[in-house]
Amino acid sequence: MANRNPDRRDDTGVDADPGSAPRIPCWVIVAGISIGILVLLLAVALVTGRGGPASHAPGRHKPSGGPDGQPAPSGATENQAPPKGGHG
Amino acid sequence: MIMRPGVRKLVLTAHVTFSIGWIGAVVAFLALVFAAWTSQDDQTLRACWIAMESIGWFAIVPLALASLLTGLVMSLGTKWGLFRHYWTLISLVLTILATVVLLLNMQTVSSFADVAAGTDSVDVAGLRGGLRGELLHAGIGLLVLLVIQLLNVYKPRGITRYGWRKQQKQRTRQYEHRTALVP
Repeated sequence: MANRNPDRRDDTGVDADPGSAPRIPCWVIVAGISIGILVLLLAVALVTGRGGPASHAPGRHKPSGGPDGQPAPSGATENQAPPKGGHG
Repeated sequence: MIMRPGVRKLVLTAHVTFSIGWIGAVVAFLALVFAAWTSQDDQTLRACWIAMESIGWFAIVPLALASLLTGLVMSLGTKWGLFRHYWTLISLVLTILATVVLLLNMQTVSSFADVAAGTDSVDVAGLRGGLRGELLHAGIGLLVLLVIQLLNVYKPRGITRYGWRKQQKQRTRQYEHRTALVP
């Protein structure tokens, strides 16, 4: 015999007791912990400066002097970046 | 407001297209990272950074925003709702997280692309050093997008307290409607 009350079980797969709120499924707890760890790692990366927008800026890797170890002439590094056309 | 079936299918098609396109664009971005990583040629390295910036701003970012927007419309315009089921809620959180990290990371990519496009002496070591971060960002990003995709396809069980309350109200209303019809 077909289910007389199809509303009792919809396609969410949840057949909750009408009197009490449904419990949190295990997969949600695992997902929540994973997302929490991910957010924590991101926050740590941003705070410590290892993941922020400016942290990998190419300027950090630039040599402090010329090829022979002499200081770079003034304006040499400033002229490296051409004017941008703009994007987004 | 629940969408009509025709509109729902159209928005669903757009959402699937943008979401899969987002994954594809990230894979293309990763391919460029690998190409730059394995190449010994400085010109290839510089070209890859410039191409990565273009793919980022002109493909990944628009697809991410479009995917987020159509996802919101799909949730709000269907019985699933935005906060009623855990899978929609987690999908939303992960999509927002991925989009924010993407927008932050694109600033870094643009900085490197600026240097790579420079006509003067280029900091090749710096450009190579930046690839590790991009591999990490794009790799984790791809993983997150695949998790979102899995959630959207499998729709695992689980209703939130908010969703449960809504369901209870709806059932009560239906019951009252039925009993009112009985003479």
